[in-house]
Amino acid sequence: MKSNTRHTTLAMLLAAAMPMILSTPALAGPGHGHSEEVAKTTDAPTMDAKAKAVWDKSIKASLSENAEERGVKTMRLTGTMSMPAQGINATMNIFIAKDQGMRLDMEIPGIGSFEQGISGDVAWSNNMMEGPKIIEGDEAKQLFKQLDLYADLNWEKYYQSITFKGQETITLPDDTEMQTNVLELVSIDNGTVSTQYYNADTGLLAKAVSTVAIPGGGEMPSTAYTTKYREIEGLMIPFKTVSSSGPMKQIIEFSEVLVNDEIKDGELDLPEDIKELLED
Amino acid sequence: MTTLSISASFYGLASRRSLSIIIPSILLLLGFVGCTSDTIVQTTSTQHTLTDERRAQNVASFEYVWNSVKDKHWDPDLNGIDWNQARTDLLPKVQNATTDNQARAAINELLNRLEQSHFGIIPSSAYTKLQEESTEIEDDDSDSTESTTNTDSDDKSDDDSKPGWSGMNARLINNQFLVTKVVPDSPADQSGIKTGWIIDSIRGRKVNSLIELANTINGVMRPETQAGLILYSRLHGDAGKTVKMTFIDGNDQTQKIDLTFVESPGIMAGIGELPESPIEVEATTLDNGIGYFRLSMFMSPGTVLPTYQQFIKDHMDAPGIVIDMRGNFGGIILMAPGMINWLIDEKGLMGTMKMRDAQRGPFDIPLMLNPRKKHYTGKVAVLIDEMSISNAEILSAGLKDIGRATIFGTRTAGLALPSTVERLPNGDGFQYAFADYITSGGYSLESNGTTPDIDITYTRQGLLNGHDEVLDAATDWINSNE
Repeated sequence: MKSNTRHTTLAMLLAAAMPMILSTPALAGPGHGHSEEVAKTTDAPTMDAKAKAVWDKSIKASLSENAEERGVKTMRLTGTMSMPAQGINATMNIFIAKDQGMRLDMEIPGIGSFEQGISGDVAWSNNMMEGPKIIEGDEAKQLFKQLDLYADLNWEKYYQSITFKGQETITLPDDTEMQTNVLELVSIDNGTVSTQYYNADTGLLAKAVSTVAIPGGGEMPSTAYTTKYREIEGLMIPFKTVSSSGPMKQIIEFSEVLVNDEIKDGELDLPEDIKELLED
Repeated sequence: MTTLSISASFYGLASRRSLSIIIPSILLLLGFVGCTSDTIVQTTSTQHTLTDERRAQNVASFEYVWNSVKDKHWDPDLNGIDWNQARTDLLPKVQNATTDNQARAAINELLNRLEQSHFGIIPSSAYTKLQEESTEIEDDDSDSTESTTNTDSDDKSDDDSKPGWSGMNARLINNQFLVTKVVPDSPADQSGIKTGWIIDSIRGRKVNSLIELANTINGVMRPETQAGLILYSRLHGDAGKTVKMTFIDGNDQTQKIDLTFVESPGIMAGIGELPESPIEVEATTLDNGIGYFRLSMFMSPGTVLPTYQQFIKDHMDAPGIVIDMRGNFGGIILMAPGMINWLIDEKGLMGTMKMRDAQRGPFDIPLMLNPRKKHYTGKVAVLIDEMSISNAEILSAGLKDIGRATIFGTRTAGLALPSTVERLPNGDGFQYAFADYITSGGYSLESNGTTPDIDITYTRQGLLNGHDEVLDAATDWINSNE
């Protein structure tokens, strides 16, 4: 069975894109305060019955009946990233090839271009300000997780527990209210807790409150609302994500999503600048 | 954080319309000093009584500002300020304001209570080209007992006006504004102005009143920075505009000069709601092969950083390089680690932004240094002064704290809070700091600034003799065996 991970993957991707744009610098981790962490356990991952019902409903809602047979190997997303309050608008292209690699290109007027990717077993980034860099630690793990387009089906690989926390009415960015089922997810890697809110009617992910790994091994809080779902090749894709981290709000909107588009020549190759770094 | 990890200091920015530049720079400036903004800002007499709709927009703007600070300030205690009381005190002023400037002054007064830099209101005129020309220079009208007759030529600005520039710098040293730099072939140079001259009056006003004002206001800003920023705005205007100035020359004689601005050199650059400004970049080689790099603002990374990178590559074998941050007003914060990365050989911490998330509380974002593979290993000198603001302070402190550079000059402005600019319902810009910045040395740059290793400033005699004593000290150090 396939996953609905498009939404969580995308939400995370967007969140992952944020620190990149953000202070692409070399943020290192915040690492205190908000990010509750629980002790890592060696017990088998757990998901309670109510959580499983929400989880399964979400997966079912995200996939059309015959989506499973299609097999998603790549996703190509074209869109924009904007920060309306600040008047920032950027173009964005993301390509993910399952278990092979990914590449994110963003062009921000007034700042320049940002590139980030995974080529083989190397996660990297490059931009005018920070220069070429090998991404390491939790930030790299977070990126590699994007390659698993079926992450939700493989939840045991990523979470030590998923717990139903009840129902809650949330207010969406357009000020409408939505009844949701709330799940608490504890990361298997570092015990970081995130909370996901699923539309009680449709089952689709509506909101995620999590932490995003940033350079240097730290984390940054992120709240993301996934909206405007559209079906693409049997997958329900959120075409608009409104996320915030601290005082900043970003909107990411896709204009086009292609499933199983071909990998272009050299698209997932290591950039020359990154190769140079690896020569040491 | 985010793209907008800009520590943009808006002071004195020259946007396409220099009038619009001056206004925000002064408003912000005064907004920070804790004086009664309305005595300074209210002088616009040409504004009409506000419509109900406009008044509602101003009230909505006040609410937006109040809520933004409450929710987004990194310190949940808001620097110990009773924010609810501030709202109670000041909202009526906005509700009862009869002009935009009165409403704006009340909002600035609200922000003044934080007593922190990088909080201020940028009038909508900075973004449009439509209004408020008459408010150009009214910052010290209220205090001045001297002649306030404006002897300048008529404002020639129109929609096609370009930001203009005089080609000279000045600094407040020992209570005198000394000309510290005259750019060859600039209007100042062609007018015969020399370094070391004392500025006596600008636009018909003695600068003493400006200096006195700066010295008597107890605010966030140091007097020399405050006075310097106002002077900066006076020395910029629309290209083609003429200002009348008087100087005391090297023979202590008064010189009357009509200085006509020409189009500012440099790259026009802005980001988001931060209006465009001309950015000056200078990369050259001094005697003995020493590299010299100067930047007036951290903007336009796509243009500036390649120039910087080429400068570093061209001086890989130089005995030293000088990075001149004097008079740099800050900008995009990420450009600072981006520049330092070319000067270091190991990863490290440049500093930490302390922030707050509405849902998850305080968090830190360290700014990491990531060395370039081929980096410069020689001596690095950084020049700073009281007009080095924001990101210029972050860069100099970053290099100092990791022991990579020797810092020459005078203490920086101490206005170093990372900030961003948003638009308000009434069209004004709202600059607010969203983080505190702690250096890798563990201290806050706000108020403190970067302290030089070698404390040195200009002297009048040195300037009259054509010397930049701060730069000379740096090059002497590079040429020495220290």
